[in-house]
Parts: sequence; C-alpha cells; structure tokens
Amino acid sequence: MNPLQGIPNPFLNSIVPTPWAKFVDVTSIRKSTFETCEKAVDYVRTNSTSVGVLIQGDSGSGKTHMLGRLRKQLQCQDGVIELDTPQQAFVWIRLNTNPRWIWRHVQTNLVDALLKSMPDDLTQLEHLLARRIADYDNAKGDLAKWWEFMREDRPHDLNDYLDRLAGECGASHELLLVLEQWVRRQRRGLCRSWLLGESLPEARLGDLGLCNTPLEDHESLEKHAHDVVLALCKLASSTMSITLCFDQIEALQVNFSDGEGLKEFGDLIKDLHDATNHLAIITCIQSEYFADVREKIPGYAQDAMKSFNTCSLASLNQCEAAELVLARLSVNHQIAQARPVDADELWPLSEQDLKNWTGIEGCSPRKMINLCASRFREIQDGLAPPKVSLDVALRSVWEERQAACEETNLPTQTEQILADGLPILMELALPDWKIVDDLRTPKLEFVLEAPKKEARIGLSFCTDQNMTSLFNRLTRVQKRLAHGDLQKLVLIRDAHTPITKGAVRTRERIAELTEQGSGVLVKPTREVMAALDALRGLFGDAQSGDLAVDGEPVSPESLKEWMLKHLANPLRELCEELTSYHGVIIDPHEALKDELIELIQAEHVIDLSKAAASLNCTEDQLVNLIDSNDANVRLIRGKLSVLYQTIGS
Amino acid sequence: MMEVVVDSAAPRSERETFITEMSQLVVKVVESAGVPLSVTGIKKHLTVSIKEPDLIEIVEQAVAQQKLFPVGKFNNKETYWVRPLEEFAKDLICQKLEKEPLTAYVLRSKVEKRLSSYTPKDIDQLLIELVKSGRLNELPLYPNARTNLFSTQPPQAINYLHAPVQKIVKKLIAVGLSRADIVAGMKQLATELEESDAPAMPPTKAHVPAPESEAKESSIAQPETSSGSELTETIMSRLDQIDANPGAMIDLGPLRALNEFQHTTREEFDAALWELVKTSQLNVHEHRSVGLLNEQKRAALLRNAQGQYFHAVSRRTR
Repeated sequence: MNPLQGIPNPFLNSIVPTPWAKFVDVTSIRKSTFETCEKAVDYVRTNSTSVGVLIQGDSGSGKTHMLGRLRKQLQCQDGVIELDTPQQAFVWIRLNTNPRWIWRHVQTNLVDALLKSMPDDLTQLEHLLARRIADYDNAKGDLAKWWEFMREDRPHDLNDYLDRLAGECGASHELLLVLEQWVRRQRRGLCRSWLLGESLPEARLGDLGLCNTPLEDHESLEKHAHDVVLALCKLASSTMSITLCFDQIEALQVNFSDGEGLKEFGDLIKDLHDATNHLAIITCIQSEYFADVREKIPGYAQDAMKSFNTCSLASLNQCEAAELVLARLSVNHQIAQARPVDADELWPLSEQDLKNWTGIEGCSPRKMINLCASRFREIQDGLAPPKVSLDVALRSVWEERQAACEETNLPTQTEQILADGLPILMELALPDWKIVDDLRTPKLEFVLEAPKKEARIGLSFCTDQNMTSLFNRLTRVQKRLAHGDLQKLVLIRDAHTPITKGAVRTRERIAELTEQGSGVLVKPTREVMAALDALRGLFGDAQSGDLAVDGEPVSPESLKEWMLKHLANPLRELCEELTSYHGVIIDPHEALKDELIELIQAEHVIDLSKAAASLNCTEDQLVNLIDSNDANVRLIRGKLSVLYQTIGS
Repeated sequence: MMEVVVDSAAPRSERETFITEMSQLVVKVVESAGVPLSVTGIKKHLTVSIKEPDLIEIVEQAVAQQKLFPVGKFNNKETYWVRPLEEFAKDLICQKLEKEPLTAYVLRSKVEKRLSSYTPKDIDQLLIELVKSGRLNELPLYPNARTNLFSTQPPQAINYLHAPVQKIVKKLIAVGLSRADIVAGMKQLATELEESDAPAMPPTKAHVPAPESEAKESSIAQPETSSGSELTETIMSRLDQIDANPGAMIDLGPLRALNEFQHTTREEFDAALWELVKTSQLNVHEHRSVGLLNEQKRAALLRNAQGQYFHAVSRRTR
C-alpha cells in the first residue's frame, strides 16, 4: 500500500490572499527584506518621520506573504498592553479600484483596518486615540484599563483631549463628533458607516448630530476622503505608528494604460508621506511593472515611495526551496510517520526534484509549491495529476468568485464596483465604445461614446442612501443634460437601495428625467453586481500576477480572451441596457463642435494641427466645421493655420 | 476633398515651411497605413489633395530628414516606410514567423516580393542576425527533416513528437493493439523518462535539445573566457552607478548601455550575467509579456535555454 494514501497534500494553497490569512512561514527566507521593513518601522518611531519602502518581486514571489509576516511580527499578541510599550497599527490596502476613486478606496480600507480589534478587544483606532491622549495626560500602565477609566470616570476630560487632538490632526468637526461617539461606544454602527465614507440617510446623520449637508460632486467627495485619511493617519504617534501597506498597485492600470492610475497613486503616496510623521508606507509592485513605475510615476512620488529603502524579492535557490518544502512537510505529522526509515527529510520529494525546479535562475515560491503539490499527488496516486486546462480552471474560479461576491456584497460597495468594473466590462463587451472624460459641468461619473462618435451616453451613479444627496445629484444631472450633447442618460441605482416614500421631490426629479427626458433608471440586480465585482477582482488579480493556474500566472490577455467567450449573460444585458438608445442620431459634428468651442474658450488662439490633435479628429474635419460658419470660430489659413474665437461670441 | 495648392511663386521660406509641415503629415499617413506606401499610395491615403510633383518633393524631404526610408520597389513602384530598410526587413521576417515556423526557403518565398532589393543570401544573413539577437529561434531539425525551421517561439516538444508518434500508433493499431494498450504504453514511457537519472531541465519545461548553432551561442553553456571574471567584477561594481541601493532592481537596458560594455559582445555580457546568477550574486527577474514591449526594450532582455526572458537583475540578499 502506498504510505501516503489518505494523507492531505501539504502543498495545496500557494496563494496568500491577504496578510490576515493563515500561512506556513519560513522566516529565514527573505530575511533581509523583512529586516528592512522592521528597520523602517523603528525609524519612523524614533525619528517621527514618515518613510517609504518599495518591495519589488516577480509574480508569486511572496509579496503579500511578506506583508503577512510583517503583520504577525508587528502586532502585539498580549491581552494586556502597556501604554509605554511601542505598538503598530497595521493597514493593508489592495488597489483594485478606479484611480479617480482612489482616496475613497483608501478611506474605506484604512477605516476597515483601523476598526479591527486587538487582543484586548479594543480596536486599532482606539489604541491610536488612547496613546495620543495618554501623552497629554502623562498616563502609564495598562492601556485598556486606563482607557476604560477615562471613558467612565473622566468623560469631560476625554472630550477636551479629543478636541485638542482633533485640532492637532486637522480633523473636521464632523470627524471629531463621530470619534467622540465611537469612544463613548454610542451608535457604533453609524459611526463605522460614516468613517467608511458611506452615504447615510438624513435621519441617521441627525442621530450622529451631523448636519445634512451632503457633498456635491466627485471632486469634493475625493477631497473629503483625502482629509479624513490624513486626519486618521495623523493620529499615529511615536508610541504607535501606522504601517500602511499598498498591494497590487498594478490593478490600477487595468483600463488606464496611459498611466493615469499610477500617477494618481504617486500623488497619494506623496501626500501621505509629506503630510504625516508616523507612517511606514510599504508599496509592493510586480517587477514586470518596474519600468512603468519609473516612467509614469512622477520622480517626487518615487522618491517618497522609496525614501527609506528598496528591496527586491529574489527567486528561491535550491537551499531556500528545501527550507520551504521542509516547513510544509512538517505541518502534517502523518508524513513523518509514513516516511521510510532510510528516506531523507525531503521525502516523498527528492533533492533532484528541487534541483530541477530551481535551475540556475531559481524558482518563485508559488511555482515551487505548485510543482511540489503536483509531485506529491503523483507519488500518492501513482499517476501524474491530469493537467487542468485553462478553460476549466478559469470557469471554476469565475463561478467561485461570483458566488462569493453574491454572498458578501453590500449596497454600500455599489459605487466602487461600478467605477472599477464598468470600464473593464465595456472594454470586453463593447470595445468600440469609449469611456471619455466628461468635459461639461456639472460632471457625470462616466460618459460613454459610441463608435464614430455617433452618440454619447451619460452615466450617473445614484447610489446615495441620503435622499437630499440624491436629489442634489439629480439636479446636477438635469443641469448637465441642458448642454444637449447626450443621446441618453442612465441613472444607475442598486436594486436593493430603495428610494424612501418621503422623498417626493427626488421621485419627481427621477420621473422628469426618465419619463419626459432621455433618461432611464437602471437597477442592476444582486446577480449583476456580483458578476461585475467578480470581473473586476479577476482582472485586478491577473494584472498583478495573482491569478494562477498550476502555478503559472494567467495574463490579463489570456483572461480577456477567455472572458470574451464566457461573459455572463447578465453582464451582456447590463451593457445592452446602458448603451442602447433611440431617437435621432446626433450629427457627429455636433459633439465635435461643442468640444471645439470649449477648446477655443480655453485657448483663445490655437494652431489647427494642435486643435485637431487635442480633439482627436483630422484637420479637414475641423476646417469643414469652421467653414460651415456655425461655431463662432474663424480660421486664418497660411503656412501655419490658426484658429481663433470671434469677438462677441 | 480639400485641395492644398502650393504657390510656386510664394516666397521660398513659405514654401519650405509648407513642405516641412506636409512632410510631417505624410509620415503620419505612412505610419498609420501600417505597410510601406508608394507616392501613389500616399496620395490615396491623404485626406487632402496634393499635386504629385509637390508630393514627390514632400516625400523626398521626409527621406532627407530620415523620417521616411525607401524600402524597395513593390509592384514596380518605390515604397517608403517609417523605419530603415533593414529594420523593416527584420520586422517583416519576424511577422511571418510569428504565425508558424518556416524553413529559410519558404520564408524567402514569402518575403521576396516585399524585399525586392534583398538577395536570398542577404535574407539568410538577416535570419542569422535575428537568431543571434534572440528575436528568432533556429529550431532543431524535425525527425526526417533536412532543413532547420525558424520561429519566434522556442521549440515545442509536441511538434517533434506528433508526426512520428502518430505513425507508430497507426502501425500498432494495424497489428491489432487497442488504443488503451497504446496509451498505457505511452504513460509508462513518460514515467520512465521522468525517472531517468539525469534530467537536464525542469520537468515542467519541454525538453528539446538545443540546436547545435544555439548551443554554441548559448550564453549559459559558454565556458568562461579569460576576461570573464573581470567582466563579472565590472558588472557588479557598475550596478552601483545605476542604483547604489543594494536591494534595487536594475533594468538590463541601462546596464548594457554603460560605456564600459560597449566593446563587449552580447554573448560575453550575457555569459557574465549568468555566471553571476550561478554564483548567487545576482538574481534575474522574468518578463512574461515580452510581446508587449517595444523593440528597444526587447533587445535588452536576457534569455535562457528554456525560452524565458529576463528584464532586470538585482543583487542577491538572503
């Protein structure tokens, strides 16, 4: 009988999905990178200066694993934490988001991490607050006990200290009010929602004592998220700094090959690095994108990103591979029991296996574990495991992801899912359509442009739970429609977020837009939102090298090819709903004319070739348009033809 | 279509400006056409009408400024392209071989019409250069074949096994063996092959012996020359010039471009890099989307015998 019969394969699970996942760790591997991160954290604490560490590695080289090790090492495991014992808050942010929503994405993930509980049942946020306030109060001893004492016996002092702290951190009055209630353990659910950046109904804002002055547009929402993030990061101190890890930054580039995503990220890092004093910012990047980072992230941001150090994760050599294999084998004592007396520790694998797999160049840990898994199964079954085809593997991953998203998605995530998922879906299902920047104000979230500029469709994400906010949004949309350049308007609202009965004016506004105007209200079902979320997740992983079949990363191109053949029907229907339009097809020149007027209003005088280049049309098209004498623009022909705006227009 | 007329009586500077501006337009037209164009072809692709003599002058200026290059006659008319003839010829060859592996003879027949100024010998020379630079692979001989194949892809074991195995299978079926028996035999063979003592390559990779020409050129197999150790030392010390941080990843492009290495052949340089990898001083970083890189970046890559490409190195730390 085969001695391995019935023993679970110790090499399954080669991907560490998050730093909070359980994994087998070999601390002697990547020791120097780990030490660099530890030194950076110490440096922040002792010098009160935020620093950046850049970790580069091939796909499957263990970047997330490294962050997991750091989390384990940095986080205090004791139930009792002394106020004078230095501590770390650990935050991990995977950048699977649309770059235009980046600050809101960071806010959500930062708050989510800060609200995780420590061994003493207080959250990381409470620890950050407690340490700052303890500094004011010269407190010592058990943090949890002292905090309880402050909350119960000295609430007024605590409020005064919080007020002072808010001033020092640049926290808004609203943030201060929410933090006060969080500390008092009042309305924690609402506080959490507000801190996460969710839209709250008027009554709930009233419960928190906040005014119902919803933010107006995309830019102000991003600015608000920026301010909340910086204020929260400034809560860190020399006794408790924050280790802020950014992972999968490649995912920002899924649809923004022009580098917009990386530039936005660079600016974000620069702001965090320069505006705070106690952040250790760790950025992980796949080595293949190394050149992109150098080309597309501004130099000042790159300097911030690696202000402390840069590390590269090397492939495993034979020795390291052996350590990894031994660690995995030792997890299950049944293997040791089954091992023949004369076999070495690597049994059932052999040194020759590892030698072959590592070769001269080495082998990534993920690939090594997958090779071991196959070999183990082969020895166990007496047959090489059948090779899983890409098609079968992707089908199974896709189904799993959809099911998981359907189970866990919340209506509060709808905007992020739409913002990140729709550009990917459009590129797959309708590659001839473009998502273009909205040049008009008030701006819509997205403007879809039909092939040959035949039509433009505006998209507004009406995901607000707050009816005043929704009404204001609809009013802005109505103003936007007045420009007359849109063929159709799509208002998207999650099917599970009702419009309250009392919101009469909001209902009327929706009716005006949809019954009399060119608007439609699209309510994606839970199934559609789950599929869209799964789609963006898969592409984010593929872009970051974290989607693998048999240990080999699946490229975004292969995924795209597969997805084109298997795109779920609900997603195709969503595309249809968004892009089908009726009525007169606008003159394609109409949109061009509007763009030209805007350009000339900004530039006053511009040469023809530059104008054509910036409007993405030919010079001839522009000349024809101007000759039609309809655009209040004149052309001086000559060796350098120049456009200018007619006086009085 | 709007007609653009150049006034020959116009002042010289004005006419020159016109010609210069139009030559930029013409370059764009040729580039967007995706194939070399003759003057007539350019005229067809232009959205404005320019008289032929003017157009010829415009094209000539673009050629003088090295923005367009004559790349030989096609259908008896001189054609122009945005890259020099040799680069055009190499791109064309790679394009043909991307679809399927071809022998030099078949390849020549496919490109000779476009490369009218090239003799068969010239095309063979280009093939050699492309193989040397790593853009093409000279595949080992197929069983019973007499001529090597060229491809942009590394050799695939299945291509070598398919035809002979099919032949044997047919014969075995003819003598009465069942398909199940044949499959079992093949599996046994595969197991024996894997368990043989000296596997030269990782079992996940197709194990096809490198062709003789490649083996000679392979930087891994190449013995270290007398100046090899000096070269490895120079490489290690010059890494600091690019980035002194010991953990930094360094692109091979800037490293190859350093003055010190201008007189080092590609083979020597790559052999020195592999020596540093073998002795655990350097780590190489793989690039899996080589097709997305431009030619300049592709040319800087390091390649191993298994057809993997590496774009950067870093100093090895524990």
